Amino acid sequence: MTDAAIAAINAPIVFRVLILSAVCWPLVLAAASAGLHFYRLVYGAPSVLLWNRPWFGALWMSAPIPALAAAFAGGDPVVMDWLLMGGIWTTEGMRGILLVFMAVLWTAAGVHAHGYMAQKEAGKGRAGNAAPRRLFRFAALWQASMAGCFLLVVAADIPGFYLGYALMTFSAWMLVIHDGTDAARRGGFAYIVMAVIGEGMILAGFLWGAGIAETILLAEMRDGMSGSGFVLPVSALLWAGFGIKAGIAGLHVWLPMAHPVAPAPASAVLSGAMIKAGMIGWMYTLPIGLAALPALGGVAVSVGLAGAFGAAVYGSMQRNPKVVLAYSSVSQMGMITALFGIGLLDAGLWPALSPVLLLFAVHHGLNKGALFLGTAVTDRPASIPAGVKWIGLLLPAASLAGVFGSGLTVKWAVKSVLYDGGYLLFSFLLTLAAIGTSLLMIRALVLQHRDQRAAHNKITEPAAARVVAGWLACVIAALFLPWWMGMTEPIAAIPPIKELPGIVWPAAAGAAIFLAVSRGIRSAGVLRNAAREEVPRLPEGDLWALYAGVAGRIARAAEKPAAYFEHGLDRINRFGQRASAFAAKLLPMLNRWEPFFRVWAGVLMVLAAGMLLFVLAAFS
Amino acid sequence: MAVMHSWMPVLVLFTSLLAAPVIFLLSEEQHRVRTAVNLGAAVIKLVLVCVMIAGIYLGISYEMRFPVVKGVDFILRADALGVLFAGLSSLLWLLTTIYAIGYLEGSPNRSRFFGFFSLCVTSTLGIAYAGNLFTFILFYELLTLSTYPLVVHRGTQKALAAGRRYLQYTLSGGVLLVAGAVMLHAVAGELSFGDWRYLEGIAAGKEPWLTAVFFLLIAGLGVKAAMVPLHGWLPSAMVAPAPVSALLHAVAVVKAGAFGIVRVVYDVYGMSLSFSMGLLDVLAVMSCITIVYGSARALSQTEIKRRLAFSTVSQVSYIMLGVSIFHPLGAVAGLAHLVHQGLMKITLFFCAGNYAETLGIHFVGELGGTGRRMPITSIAFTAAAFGMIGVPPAVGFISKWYLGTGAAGAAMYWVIPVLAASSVLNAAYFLPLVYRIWFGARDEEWPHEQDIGRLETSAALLWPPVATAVFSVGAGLLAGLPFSPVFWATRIAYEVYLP
Repeated sequence: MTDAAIAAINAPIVFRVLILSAVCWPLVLAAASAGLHFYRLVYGAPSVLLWNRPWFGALWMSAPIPALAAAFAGGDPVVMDWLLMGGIWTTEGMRGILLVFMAVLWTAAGVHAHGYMAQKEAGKGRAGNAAPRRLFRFAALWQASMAGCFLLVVAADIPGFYLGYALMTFSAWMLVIHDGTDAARRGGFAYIVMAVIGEGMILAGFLWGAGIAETILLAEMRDGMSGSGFVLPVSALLWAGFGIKAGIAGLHVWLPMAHPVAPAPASAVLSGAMIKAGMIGWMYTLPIGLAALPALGGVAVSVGLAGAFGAAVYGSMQRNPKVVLAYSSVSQMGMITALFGIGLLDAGLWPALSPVLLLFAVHHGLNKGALFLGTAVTDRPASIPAGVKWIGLLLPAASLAGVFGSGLTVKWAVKSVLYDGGYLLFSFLLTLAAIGTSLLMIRALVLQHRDQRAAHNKITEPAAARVVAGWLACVIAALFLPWWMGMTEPIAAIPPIKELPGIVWPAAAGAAIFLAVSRGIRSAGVLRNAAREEVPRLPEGDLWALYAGVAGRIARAAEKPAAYFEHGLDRINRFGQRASAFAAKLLPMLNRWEPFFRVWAGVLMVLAAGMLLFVLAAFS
Repeated sequence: MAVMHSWMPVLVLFTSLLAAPVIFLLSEEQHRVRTAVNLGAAVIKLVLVCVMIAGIYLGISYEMRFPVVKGVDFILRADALGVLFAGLSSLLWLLTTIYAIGYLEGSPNRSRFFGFFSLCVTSTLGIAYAGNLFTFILFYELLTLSTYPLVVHRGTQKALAAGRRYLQYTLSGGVLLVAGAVMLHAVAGELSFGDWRYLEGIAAGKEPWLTAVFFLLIAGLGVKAAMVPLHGWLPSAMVAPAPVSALLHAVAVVKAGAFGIVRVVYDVYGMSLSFSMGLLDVLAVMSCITIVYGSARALSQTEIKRRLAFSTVSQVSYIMLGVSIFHPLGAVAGLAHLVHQGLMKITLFFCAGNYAETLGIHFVGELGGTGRRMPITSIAFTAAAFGMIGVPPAVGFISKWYLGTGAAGAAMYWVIPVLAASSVLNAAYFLPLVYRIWFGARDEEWPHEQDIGRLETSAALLWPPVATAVFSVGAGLLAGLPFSPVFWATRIAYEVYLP
């Protein structure tokens, strides 16, 4: 960006303050929470009571408010030369929509988390010390990852974006392992291993892309690399790197292991907001619409469809509702990945496709968030009528399955764009995948229903009002998404009546399959029923065991060449030591010769002079 | 005023050179006097160096020169690159002195230690201000000799063995360096740093000689810079007390080697001559091997300081890699990383020293629960570790950014996977530490707990790592501000060394 262009940008001071505090306010709160956490360690003073004080609750819930305000205020990009290599933050274009989405989801999940964590930690029966310490640690990491989410949305410069992405990734790692159970540790391990590999690929892609485009700005990198000969490898690195976060098939293994083990509100933001960071990465960095990348597009479409179908089948055989929901995320992200693949194949379709994808992503984010928040509502006896509860649980599920609310809009929009582009077969495949979605949704709700009775026997304290409020807020926000977000322009919000059967039938088909299969299993015999516990469990994280095995094998295979290399270095080292030992031996030898030299010095000199003369004479 | 300017570099050297004999003569018990002399010298030196940095910025030149024999001059001169190194060393020296005072509290032979400590810093500053190879080698060897007593300070069998190894390596390296310098003198005559245009002019026909000289010099300097396969002394030298490790790894020794390589490439040969003779490619390959090798070896180390030592092997080679990338951004990366690596690595060694001194923890496996017992140290450690991995906003990311984009600009695309792999490996050997610190369980007693200080440990041990951690994050977060390491490196790269 030229100096003149930067000088021309002069965002109003109010917006400057808003966008800065969108990122900094959660960070300030994170620092304060960390301070309380450590204060607690040393002096033991703040207690759970502090957490439940109204003013603390208000501060806690205020974290995403500046982001919300900044997104609605809008303004020119804000330039900060001093930040990293020059920061530019903006809410223009899709960034504004994404920021609203992120802020709404984090607000709802935050209200929920405030009640949920207090109940969870206080009720654990831990020593009175541990609960507040863990609460404030959770608070610090929660707010830090929130700040990361907001930063990655608003940053238009690569270092700022990468900073937000990394802040979110690493803080969320600690949210995943918060519970400290074995499953949490396993999930956290899978999470961090894959995240680091992803960070490596993203870093490589950024360095390469920004290096050839000679810029620090995301948009300029897209333009610059689309014209270069390296557009394919750079795009592939970025696609795969962000794809790990987005849970593309094959690289998704961490997701079903990590998302379910986090506390419910953390699962909601992991599956709702953070998974979208991967897709946001694609949108900001890949040269979609600028250059056609048929090879990558083909891979994306196949991998996406494989994920959409595979996760649906594997996920519906899981027994933990949160794991089923995580697999549903993989399945949904598979559809989004496949749609991205279409964009990569067909640059001409991208202008029509991108707003639809954005809507799809936001729709999935809020509904999946609502579903994960809902798992906490069935864990405890609810403080609301059962009818309201189950309608609230059903709505986002129905929406994801495409029969209600924002789901209808998204399905219709995707269908019409694909129809206009002539991708009829692909559209049909997505429709088939939607059958899988409804299967997963039904399975998750049934499991929740099954589990709640057992849970209520253990826990009698009803869910806190904040838990229910946060969850309901998310449900409502998700339901009316296309309207309040002002995204109705490019797409008709409600499909025409005559199109409805074509959109709704997969959900019906899914319900029919579910009924048939569960009936079938039940009638297969009392025997099977009795031995149900012995039916082998399909491990969450499916391919993870395979990858771990392969990695172990590679590590063992590498041991031998490494040993050879080490051996070679040792020899060089020993040679050096022998050389110096030899030099040390030389000295006494010289001592022995010393008397000889003293006696014969004169003769030696005469001899040497004679030889020198002889040589000179011979050659002159 | 001009006289003053020519005496400035000498004055900077003399602050610590004069402090050394005073400290040697003090008795062990004169704790206060010694502390006062130590800190006074360090503060005066830092102020003087800051004045010189400002002076260089305003275009003042500082040079002191006299002939030793005909054709060989002794030159002390402060140029932009020199004050970059001098600024880093004098800042970190001040902090390391404070740390060492706290660390050695009550242990024997402190006068000896701090005497050699001062000599060591004198030589480092001499290296920074050396104006030609002759002067450089003089101080370079002085550095070897003055650090030996520090490495063997504890006097144990292991320390003495490490010291022997250190001398074997560094003195052999010194021989190569001298041989290279003499050969260069024979080939090209008297050269002072910055005469690369002259060397470029007479290089035609002398390429084989110049290539041989180049590799002699690099091999000589590569020993201190711990380039594979010359790195063997560094991991074993970690038996030295923590402040000495900090000194070896961040302030003086390893840095002196890397700084020398920067001098040879930019000031003796010049960027374009080294590039056109194909020397940079070899250097780049060598540094990449070192980067990957060091990280891979660090993975399997169970002792914290040993893991950090192999990490240094890897990280210091970023400097050489930056230098060997024929692109201004590569130069920026190399020069800035000279400072960046120092800030991050000294933080890590300070923290490792705190764990060892306060709790008796030396091994990775013992770290569980330290985050609760020593939160401030642990935060500093975590910040520096993430910086090393290359996670923004700490300075490690800034280095990687310039290295990678420079490599892409110079069409050395193969460097980028090396950087990515190194980041992943860095994460693989640092994150387990971070994980244990914050989430590891502790059921038993600490191995050797000492109750020192009002906070988690004594103030002298606690605040230096906090300061360096703040610098490592701040210098990255605010890299766009004037006088940040990157700002200064950019200035040097574009205004001084660009052909």
